[in-house]
Amino acid sequence: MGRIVIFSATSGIARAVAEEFLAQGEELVLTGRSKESLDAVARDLQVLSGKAIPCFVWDVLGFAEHERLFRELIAVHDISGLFMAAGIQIPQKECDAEPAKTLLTFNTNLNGPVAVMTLFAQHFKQTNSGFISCVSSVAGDRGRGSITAYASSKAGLSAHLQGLANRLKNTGVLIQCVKPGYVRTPMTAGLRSLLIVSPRWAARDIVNAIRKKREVVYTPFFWKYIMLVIRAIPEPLFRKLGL
Amino acid sequence: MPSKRTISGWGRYPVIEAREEFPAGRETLSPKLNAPYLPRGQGRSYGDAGLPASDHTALNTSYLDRFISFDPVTGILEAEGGVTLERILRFSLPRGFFLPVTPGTMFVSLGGALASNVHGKNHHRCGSIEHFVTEFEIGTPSGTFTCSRESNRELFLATLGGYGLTGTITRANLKLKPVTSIQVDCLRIRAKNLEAMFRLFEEHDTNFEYSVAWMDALAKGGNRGRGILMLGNHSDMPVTGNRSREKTKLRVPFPMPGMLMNNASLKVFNTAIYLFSRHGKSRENFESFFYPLDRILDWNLLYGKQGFLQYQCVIPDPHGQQGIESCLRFLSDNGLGSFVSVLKRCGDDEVMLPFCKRGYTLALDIPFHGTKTLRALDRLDALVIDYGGRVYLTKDARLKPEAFRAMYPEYKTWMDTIRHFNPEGKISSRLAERLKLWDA
Ligand SMILES: Cc1cc2nc3c(=O)[nH]c(=O)nc-3n(C[C@H](O)[C@H](O)[C@H](O)COP(=O)(O)OP(=O)(O)OC[C@H]3O[C@@H](n4cnc5c(N)ncnc54)[C@H](O)[C@@H]3O)c2cc1C
Ligand SMILES: NC(=O)c1ccc[n+]([C@@H]2O[C@H](COP(=O)([O-])OP(=O)(O)OC[C@H]3O[C@@H](n4cnc5c(N)ncnc54)[C@H](OP(=O)(O)O)[C@@H]3O)[C@@H](O)[C@H]2O)c1
Repeated sequence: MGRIVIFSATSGIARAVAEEFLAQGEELVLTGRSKESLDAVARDLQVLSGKAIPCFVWDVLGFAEHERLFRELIAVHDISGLFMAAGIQIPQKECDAEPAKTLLTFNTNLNGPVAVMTLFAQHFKQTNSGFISCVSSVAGDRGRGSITAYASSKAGLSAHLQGLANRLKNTGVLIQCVKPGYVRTPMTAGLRSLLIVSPRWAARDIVNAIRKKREVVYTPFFWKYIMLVIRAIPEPLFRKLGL
Repeated sequence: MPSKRTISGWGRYPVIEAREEFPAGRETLSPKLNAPYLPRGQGRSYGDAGLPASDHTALNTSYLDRFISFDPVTGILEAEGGVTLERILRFSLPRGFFLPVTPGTMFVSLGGALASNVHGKNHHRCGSIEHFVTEFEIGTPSGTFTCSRESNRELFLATLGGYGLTGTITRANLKLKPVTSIQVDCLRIRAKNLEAMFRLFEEHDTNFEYSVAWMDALAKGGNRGRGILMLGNHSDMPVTGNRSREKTKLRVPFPMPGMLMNNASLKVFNTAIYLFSRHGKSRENFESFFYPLDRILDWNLLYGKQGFLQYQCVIPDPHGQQGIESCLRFLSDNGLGSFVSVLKRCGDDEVMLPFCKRGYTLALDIPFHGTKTLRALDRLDALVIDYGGRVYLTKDARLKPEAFRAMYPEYKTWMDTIRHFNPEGKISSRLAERLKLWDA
């Protein structure tokens, strides 16, 4: 049994997913862009599981480093799965004022994760096993005026994962696109909504869905129906709603 | 910089506009400590202890929530200041450890619990949480310090029960307590009036680690003080394999109409509880014994938009019993209802600004009806002061500065220490402003 590598293990959702994996007896490797934060999270998980967990400092924006880091990782560890959580959400107002922030959004949410996942997808394809579970968002299900950059980066990510799943359909590799609604993490800090759930809730859904080999996961489940409705709203009306 | 939003304590009075920041992890904290602020945990203090002073930012510790180490031999858990008691329990119970002291909700942060020096149903046996904190690290405007009873003792004793005013507790070591079971052996006894209640306390609570009484604060005359004494000891049936199952929780979705909590409904509710609640022996899950209110999320919304006031006072011995009786008489004479009223015996706290004194403590949830309620409670303060008692600041939203000074003669030494580490009031709360602590 190999290890599951968690990308951006410092994320609220990833920490909960890591806890859930550990509770099921899985072995992990953690990555993140800040050594200090990564070490703190690794320590926390070590207290919980009683096992030391290897860490790799890995910035999804470090495009020139991906290949080298990937080789280093697979040289020491047998990797059986990948969970990707890297992502940022910058207020649309700031993206409008500074185009660089739109780019940063795309690079962090789409280009970086895709670059990393491409390496692993090839690797898993060769061994005919393994999984990639990547956190996209319900926001990617429709172009949105209020969060244009974020939503379109996630739309690209969801489409990429769908494509990848199609390409690898006859292999033993699972490609999973996770679409959370609202989860209580630093990204949504302070958000008040009746629909918001704990990262543990999302994590259980995700780990269950990996076990069941599901390619698209809405968490909590009811977002599937909410998004069904949202996608069905005709554009003129949608515009009026200003979502 | 985040924009302002409305925040409040658990009682939803007062509600203020303030900026709130959510640093992720201890390592990202230091730049946030430069602007005027107040540390804030889970916002479970009832009044304004957790609300930043005007022009101060709330520094929310929700994401300072990592464990750092655990020693299964000593039971000492080291964690960041924002970790919740819920997370600690989820970790510790399967390993055979419980919180040494716990408030009536597990949805509070470790830092918040220390800042209020919380007490639990075992106060008569082992005091407040101060006795189980072996060490903590705190970021103050004058630097970062590691405190214990041995080193930086003054800061240690001013911070525990210091309502955040010395600085931000970034990590703490808490000595957990070994238990063999997640269950509690309970005994519930009905007391037909206050006299009977006090007698039951004296008779039983030495044999039980946990004791607390729920009272019908609306009953009058010969029934005054009737209620149910709840006693408990950790059961010794082994815990093994009990990863306690999580129960589905109910949530109050939005503020209920204010009408819901009127004196008539309170009366019906309290009478019904007195008459119909269980009594006798039972074995219960720790959650239903320690955290019955946690079953309903956001239950504070039941009190409607105007919120409610929690009033908790302690009346020291030798006048504890007499003082509590006067308080109850005052409530019924003034038509002040209380949804949940809790009575408990307590010992002495040893921190610089102690709340608990050997005697009895009474906690009341009082629906808020504007100035009428406020004025009545001012008179209740006077009564409490006459008995040498004091009001618990973590529950308070309305105490007057003069009353505070009369209740807490120790405040000068405490403020001297606070000023030493936080000289310009860079860390300050609405509570500090209201009590005019900086003028003291
Ligand atoms: C249902 C219920 C039952 C309760 N039962 C009890 C009980 O039995 N006994 C008891 O003693 N209390 C009880 N309380 C009160 C509660 O335990 C305290 O108010 C506690 O301080 C709340 O913690 P919090 O994390 O929500 O802090 P907040 O309410 O956010 O803040 C409380 C205070 O702690 C300070 N603070 C928060 N975090 C830090 C930090 N990291 N460093 C320094 N200061 C900090 C804040 O500045 C503020 O002054 C109860 C509350 C509720 C809602
Ligand atoms: N929370 C929600 O409601 C919600 C809803 C839908 C989708 N999502 C998605 O869920 C994922 C996880 O988010 P979260 O909610 O858990 O929020 P989060 O805690 O803010 O996590 C975001 C993570 O992305 C990491 N990151 C940012 N830039 C990076 C970079 N250049 N290289 C590597 N890692 C980088 C962050 O690392 P640092 O810790 O170092 O900053 C952090 O770990 C994100 O993709 C988010 O879009 C969240």
